[in-house]
Amino acid sequence: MPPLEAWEQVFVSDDAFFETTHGQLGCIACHGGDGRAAGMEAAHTGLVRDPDSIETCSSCHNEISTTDAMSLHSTLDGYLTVFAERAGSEELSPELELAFGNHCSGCHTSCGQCHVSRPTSAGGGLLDGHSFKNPPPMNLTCTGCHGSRINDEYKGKNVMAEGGTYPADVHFNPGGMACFDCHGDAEMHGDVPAQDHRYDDAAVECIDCHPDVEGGADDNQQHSIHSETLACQVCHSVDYKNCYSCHVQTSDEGTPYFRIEPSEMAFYVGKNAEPTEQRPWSYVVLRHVPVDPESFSFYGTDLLPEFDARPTFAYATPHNIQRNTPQNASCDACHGNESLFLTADKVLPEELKANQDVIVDVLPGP
Amino acid sequence: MRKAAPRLFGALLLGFLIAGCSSGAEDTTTSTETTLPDDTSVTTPATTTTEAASADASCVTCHTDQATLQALAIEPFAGETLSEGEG
Repeated sequence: MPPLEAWEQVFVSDDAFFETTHGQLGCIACHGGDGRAAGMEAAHTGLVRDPDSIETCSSCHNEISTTDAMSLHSTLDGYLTVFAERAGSEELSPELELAFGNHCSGCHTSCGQCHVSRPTSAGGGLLDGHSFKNPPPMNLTCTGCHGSRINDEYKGKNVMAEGGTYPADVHFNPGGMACFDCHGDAEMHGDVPAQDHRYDDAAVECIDCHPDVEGGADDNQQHSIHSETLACQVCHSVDYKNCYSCHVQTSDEGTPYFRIEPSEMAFYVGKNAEPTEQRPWSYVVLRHVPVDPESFSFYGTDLLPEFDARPTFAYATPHNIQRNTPQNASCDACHGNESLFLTADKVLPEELKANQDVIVDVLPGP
Repeated sequence: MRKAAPRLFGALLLGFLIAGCSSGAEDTTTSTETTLPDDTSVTTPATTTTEAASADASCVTCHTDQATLQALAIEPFAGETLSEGEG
């Protein structure tokens, strides 16, 4: 997504906005500043680029603003949960807190950063004048942040080693479904049970739309046999991006940046390390996440003493669903096919301990 | 006389733009969205439409004028270019 130029980011191009309810409130009511001041600097004194959801939006949208403040998009608890586990402490060390502030907290979003502008972490800038968009345009907001993995999987932009691209998710093509067709208001606005991680009581499941698959009620023999032991993606996903070795630091001027190795397109079936009522399966799809024992070493030594507390091959739900895949073409396409499974030889030696609960020791027989 | 009115209006508008949007060449701190202070002490929407329209006149004048914004905006330092690889 090409960034907007600075002027473009703040250009209120839609005169009609001023006739809307939000427009009638006036700029200063939400953004502060001093509209009577002479000169730009004085006029911008105290200006709030991204009005606080609770302090501003909740004046009229109280319920949704209140729940949104508890959503993972607002709290970033998903990150913090993983940080805390690998750090071995609920409270982040000052070094990790600094690193989190420099490199992670920018992924926070707000009411305005979806409904009015592009998220700051995606470059910012008004979406369409100052119009409030509901639902937000997924190409400028959702995939502005969830781009390199979800966007490319979902739209079929991932490139195959042998040339060509992987197919788009059938929900996108031919389905034509946008993100919010599955990830609805309640999930986006935190109107769900409290979550420490995005997969805690996930608000959306495949069976929400495909209830007949459960237990093979659709008369599909494969669903009868496998739906209780295999996550849907094991049979219906294809290769997806895996990321390795992200390291973060700041420049001499204090600008945060990262370096990460090129991603790898691969498909790994592994054991389900944390079965739950919602995810009871024995086998799931795993994606290597970019963390590395030395990811934050710029900020200090041994900042992740419990690095092995979580697998680096993490439970995943790739957004590239296909009805027919190489592995569901026949029984033998999967059973006994070592290339599909996360075996110890595919794991870096220093990550074997972290992944011991997800590595497949014995392949399902032919 | 009929020509004088547009001229007078133009002069007033120009004066207003200069007063409301003028920025010294040395001012590089607040010309773009990304460099503005992120103060959260924001007022709640309680002004009347008339009050809002009056108080916001300068904001609207600048932020609806592409030429003014293009003249005043300064591209922020692209720190992200230091990063290597997919984010």
